[in-house]
Amino acid sequence: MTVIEVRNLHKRYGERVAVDGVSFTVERGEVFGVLGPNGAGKTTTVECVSGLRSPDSGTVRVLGSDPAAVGSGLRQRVGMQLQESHLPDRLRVGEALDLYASCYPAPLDPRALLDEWGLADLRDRPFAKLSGGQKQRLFIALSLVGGPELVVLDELTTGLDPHARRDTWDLVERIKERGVTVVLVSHFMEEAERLCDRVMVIDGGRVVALDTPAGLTARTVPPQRIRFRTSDPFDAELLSGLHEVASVTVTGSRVEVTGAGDLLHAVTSVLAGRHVVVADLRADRPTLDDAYVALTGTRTP
Amino acid sequence: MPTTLAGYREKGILRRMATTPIPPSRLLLAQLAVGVLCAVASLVTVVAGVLAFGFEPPGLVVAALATFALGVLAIFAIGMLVAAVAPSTRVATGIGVSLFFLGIAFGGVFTPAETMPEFVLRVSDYTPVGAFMQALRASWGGDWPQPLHLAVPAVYALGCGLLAARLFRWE
Repeated sequence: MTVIEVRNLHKRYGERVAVDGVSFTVERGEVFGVLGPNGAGKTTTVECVSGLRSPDSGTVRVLGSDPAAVGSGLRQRVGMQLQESHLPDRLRVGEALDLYASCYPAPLDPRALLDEWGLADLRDRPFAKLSGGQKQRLFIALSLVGGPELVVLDELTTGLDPHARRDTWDLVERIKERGVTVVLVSHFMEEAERLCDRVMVIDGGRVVALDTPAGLTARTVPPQRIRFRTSDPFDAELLSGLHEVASVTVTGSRVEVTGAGDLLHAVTSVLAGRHVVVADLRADRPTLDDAYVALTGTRTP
Repeated sequence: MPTTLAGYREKGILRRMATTPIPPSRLLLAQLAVGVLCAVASLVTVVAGVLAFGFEPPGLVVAALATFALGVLAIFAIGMLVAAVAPSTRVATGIGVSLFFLGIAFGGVFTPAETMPEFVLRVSDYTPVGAFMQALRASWGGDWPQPLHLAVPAVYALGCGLLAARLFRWE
């Protein structure tokens, strides 16, 4: 069943075009990633999906209704974690969950949520005294308290330390296990690679790619990469003739070779045959990160 | 109240609220309830004053209570309207303070109604605080206030309240 259907979405703020013809669908139970550089139109897209903004043109259907229409009842069925969010400083964790639970006709049990998200010990802690990771956990719990069928998580882990980020990923996997559809806005490729069933890359308000993380990587960049250093100046011609090799990049003493097939064997044979002494030889598979950089032409922050 | 809500708006607390099914009217009513509770507390002070220190009680208690309710609702409705649209706490405070001083100037706090020029008095009849004060004085004196002085706060309460719910901005 299709949970989100967006067709030809356009949105501009004054002169600036934020979203320029974005189309995609999200199926039930999926974790769908929305990736792209800052200002690419990610947040605007998901805000149109959640009904916080109305599109200039194009159609948006969420769970069969138009999110911008008043009285669609959609807000009861969609949970949202905003990119920037605050609660009153002195509101306690337990009070916040009770308050938000009171906004919904059939909320989940706030106590059970507190336990499940490891917030039970923080029940009486005021919002201002929470750490970044704790706030994020609270906001995830708040986005779930209405018992939604779809949650939108906008830049869930931005500003968290690596530990807190990994903990948060586990939480997202638990949301998925509940059968809730998740839209995840991110600019951490590692996060998208681990969590998302499919990712959509947006740049300059347009969709530049939409595939599974593995599919996107395979389609965009050669499947293998070898990196090493040489003490003597290296002649790229040595390797670029091999049919396994797609590209050779020499930067000072560092050499990067990409390609397919039995790349490592082909390359090391040539190097051994020519008595080239190499150091720090590493072979790996390009990640979604490399695919993303190739697609958007910008460095990830 | 306008400062609180404008502060919530500035910090994005209202934006988070906007993702829930709560309509603006409910949020404003909740704020109103808090305000009314404070007003009731001040009413309790007056009652305590009457009992403990022998303040003169209102001549017509029913009229005084009705006037009090209408006046409080009118003033809070204006506050809600400011809260609904003020983009920041500074603007909210500015508008709030200006309205407050205009209100008490026309309401006869600086000069009693008797000493006001005729023209100012007519304007005062149509301001919420002015009408409220006149009605309150009448009921304290043991009379029912003029219908105009009850109608004016009622109209302000209803009009500003509806307008506030209509114009409410989450961000």
